[in-house]
Amino acid sequence: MTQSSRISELRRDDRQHKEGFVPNRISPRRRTALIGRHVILIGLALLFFFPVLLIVSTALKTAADVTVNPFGLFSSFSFENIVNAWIEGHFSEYLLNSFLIAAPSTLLVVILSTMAGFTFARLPFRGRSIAFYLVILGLLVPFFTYMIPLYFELRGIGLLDTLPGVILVLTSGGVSFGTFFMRAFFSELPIELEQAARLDGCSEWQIFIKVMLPLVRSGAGALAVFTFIQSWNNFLVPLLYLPGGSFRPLTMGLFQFMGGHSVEVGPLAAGTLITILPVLALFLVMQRQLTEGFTGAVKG
Amino acid sequence: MMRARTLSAVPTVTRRAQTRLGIALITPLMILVVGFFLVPLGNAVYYSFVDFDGVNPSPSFVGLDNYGRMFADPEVWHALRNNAIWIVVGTISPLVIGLCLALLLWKVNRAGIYYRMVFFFPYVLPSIAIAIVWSWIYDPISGWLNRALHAIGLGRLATGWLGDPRTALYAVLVTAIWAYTGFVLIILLSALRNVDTDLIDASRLDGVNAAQGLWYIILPQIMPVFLMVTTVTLVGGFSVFDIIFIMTRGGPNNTTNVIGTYAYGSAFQLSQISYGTTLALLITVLSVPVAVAINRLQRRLSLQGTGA
Amino acid sequence: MKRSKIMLIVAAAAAAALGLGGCTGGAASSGSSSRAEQIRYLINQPGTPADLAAINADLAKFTAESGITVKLDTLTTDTMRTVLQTQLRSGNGPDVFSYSPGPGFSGALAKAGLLKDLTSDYASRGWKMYDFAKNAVTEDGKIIGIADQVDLVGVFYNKDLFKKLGLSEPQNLSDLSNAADVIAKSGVIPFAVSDQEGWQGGHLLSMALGSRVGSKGIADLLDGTTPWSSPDVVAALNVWDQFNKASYLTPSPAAVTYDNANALFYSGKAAMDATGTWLISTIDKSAKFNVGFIPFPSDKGTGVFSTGIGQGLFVSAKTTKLPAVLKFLDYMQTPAHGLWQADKVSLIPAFAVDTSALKASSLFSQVVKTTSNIATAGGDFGVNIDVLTTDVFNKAMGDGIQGILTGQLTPNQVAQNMEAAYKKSAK
Repeated sequence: MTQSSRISELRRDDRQHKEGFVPNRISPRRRTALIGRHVILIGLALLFFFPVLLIVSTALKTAADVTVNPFGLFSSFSFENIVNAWIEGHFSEYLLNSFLIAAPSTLLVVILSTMAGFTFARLPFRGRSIAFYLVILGLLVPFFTYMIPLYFELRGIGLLDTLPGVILVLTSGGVSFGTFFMRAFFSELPIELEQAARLDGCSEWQIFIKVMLPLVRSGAGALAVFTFIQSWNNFLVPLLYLPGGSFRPLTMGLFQFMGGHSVEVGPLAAGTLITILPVLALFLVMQRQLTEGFTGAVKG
Repeated sequence: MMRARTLSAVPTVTRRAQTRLGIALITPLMILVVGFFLVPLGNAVYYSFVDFDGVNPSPSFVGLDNYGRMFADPEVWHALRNNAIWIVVGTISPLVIGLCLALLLWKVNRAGIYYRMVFFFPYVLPSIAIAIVWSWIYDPISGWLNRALHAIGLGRLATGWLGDPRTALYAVLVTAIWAYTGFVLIILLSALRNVDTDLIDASRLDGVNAAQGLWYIILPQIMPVFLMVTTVTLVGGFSVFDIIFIMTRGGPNNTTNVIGTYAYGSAFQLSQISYGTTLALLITVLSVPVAVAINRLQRRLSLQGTGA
Repeated sequence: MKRSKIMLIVAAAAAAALGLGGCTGGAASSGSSSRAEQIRYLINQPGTPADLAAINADLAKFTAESGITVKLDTLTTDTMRTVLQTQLRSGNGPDVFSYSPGPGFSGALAKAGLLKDLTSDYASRGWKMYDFAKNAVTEDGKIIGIADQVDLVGVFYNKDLFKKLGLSEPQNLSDLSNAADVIAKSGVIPFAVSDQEGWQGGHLLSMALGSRVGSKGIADLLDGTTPWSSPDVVAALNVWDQFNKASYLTPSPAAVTYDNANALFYSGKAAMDATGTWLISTIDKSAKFNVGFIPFPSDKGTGVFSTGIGQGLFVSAKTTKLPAVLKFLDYMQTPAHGLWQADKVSLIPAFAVDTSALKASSLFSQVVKTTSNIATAGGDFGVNIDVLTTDVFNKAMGDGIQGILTGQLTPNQVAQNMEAAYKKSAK
């Protein structure tokens, strides 16, 4: 086989894979590799998914079954746990509260981190390193180190027990990772792009908005998903900084099933499903962003 | 180095514009960071120099007592050893598994979304749910793991897992890796999209095998993102707390204690806020050099250019 | 990287502290539109929403009878701890609240002068608690609260299974051992023991030790007359160590969670469950066989139940509504209320009630009756140690027993550790 025809064959196989139809002129070696790959993937996927199945099974069991036979997989069927969580457990309210808390903080984190990520990757100025380290410091300090002083501070400035207060706390918590994350994406963009744009007469701001920003779209999308998950699943911050019980989110709702010695596992599993559904929905919507990478300009 | 050449070629006007824009862009962020993080952190440092039990509004100053106690405390060294295990195993595993999965899923398009969802699902679960479901898997009597082991004839490997001092930390590690790998996977998949596949195809013609292709072609192209994920994971190993605390509370009998759980327990269960805060600060002090080192590495590698 | 955290937070310091004091939202009683007097009542978050509903109904009844409205606030157990101190200090706190007795809890508040001394009220208003209950809420000779819930710790056993195996109710420790042996040989786990969460250790020790040395012995240990490293303590620890080594307990107990161990009991895979009376309502629902409840026996005899006062009701020293609060406390101690406690929320009242009127399940009425009988006859009760000791001690105790169950520590070592911890926190 000549070199060029070999390349074309490889390219063809690739294209066919990308286009999603099963090639019928595939070499046996490739076929085995293909099957092998799927076998491994399916095996791992099953292993990964098994615990999730357990949760689903528990959410759909009868309450009595959960107490006597917590380990059983789909040993009974009932919606009572879900109803219990939704109504008596007030999960319908908590769902809304979780959105009110997580959505604004995610938006803020992504915006601020993208701006900062770009700055730290591409806009040199004196003192930039120090600022960067201060921001990154947040990744190295566990939250419980400063959560008590933060409480007293919030109280002092009147932000305790308020929605904006909680949103700001979550935002400041998320920008450390966010900045670090976006900076990595901006770092990957070649410096030639910037230089070319400058030669074309773009201002620094235009370079940011028109050239750089669109290229990190998928990174920003990924960050949005991760930040949303963190804010959505965050338990400590609402517990501490919304002591009055207003705006109680889903995580605290889950917590209410853990009073006393026992854990009400049935409603907890049901509550967990309610809690993760919006996140999964977000993931599905954003998953293209998450895996697209950045194409186009980079190769050219 | 390329950077230096580029910088000196940049006119002052541009530099000033860059400075202006840079400062404008990060000001809101810095306000948040200073106000909601650095200030309370400063207070926390203050706590480490006094004897604060969480209640007394004017605690007494004790200087370096807390620090002295920390260095002399055998449990601190024990916890640090556990942290070390966690950092090594808990960083390498999700990165390796995540990378392998990413490479496997790279070319899969049709079923790709389902796989991605399945592997990412655990990351989305609240810790409470994770702990409970894995308690059903690890339960010594009716747990799925032991039942599976018995079923395939490996019954003698069955132990108490979370309650057995020899296996407890590793059992929690496996759960943590299960929950975290999806995160690594998604990030690496995103970075992989940026890799120039032409290069790989061409290299295959030159007789380069898969492993060499990985090392010399693919990895360098995703290095900044790969290093970022490594840093975050590694540093996370110093401050790990959630998953260990909720699965074993640092037990049984402190076997799975890491600095994070020890700090928390001291502060909030024994009302020794000062000592707990001091331990928490230790986490910071230990992780800073690591983060700085990797950051330098990342900068150096990104300067070497990416792509074709 | 996940920032989602878990429960069991004490510090929450932040806590609600004043936040709660300033909160005027929530289910304010609509009756406050009139000029009825209102008292603020703070309790632990009830186990289930159904319990909360029952409590609200009970409070409504009080309001109907007395004209005093009650504003109910709830907090999780651990958040309460630091929150209360600050609230009571600031004067913005509840008038009456439910809290744990013990040196780390109400004892600390009493020492800080934040609780109203109820000694004279107790006498003048004719309140009548069981002696052991009264002792639990007495600090420095002063009665600082009323005991609200009694919990007994002992051994639940599967009566049907025992009958099938030809076993009778164990009358002493060797009976128990023999029974365990027979049960083990029949392929059933004798004791469903869990210790993953760590607090169970305290109960295991309390029941074995209480039966061994009685309330006097425990009192001596608690006030330092007898060291915790003494032979009786070691012997009590040893009982569990031996049982564990003989495989009478669930395999690897420190790995088993509370709920999973109980599940073994309900499904008949384990014959006995060494825990407390708070579980009775769940047992009624889940166990399809006859259940008996006995104290953990001693060498010499049937042993004594270890008691804990689960919660007490305490009054803020700064309350401005004392007469209304006292009326509330009266109400909480009426026989009718005692019956309500037993019937509706499955709690053992801290004073004698007419058990013939009880509608609760037979196991529960039996327990209430037994408690009543023993108490009025002047019988002895043991004590749940962990309520009356400091955190540092409890950690040593909890860790120690986990260590015994995993084979890392010997009873002797654990006893030494407990004594060292006791001395450290007594300073």
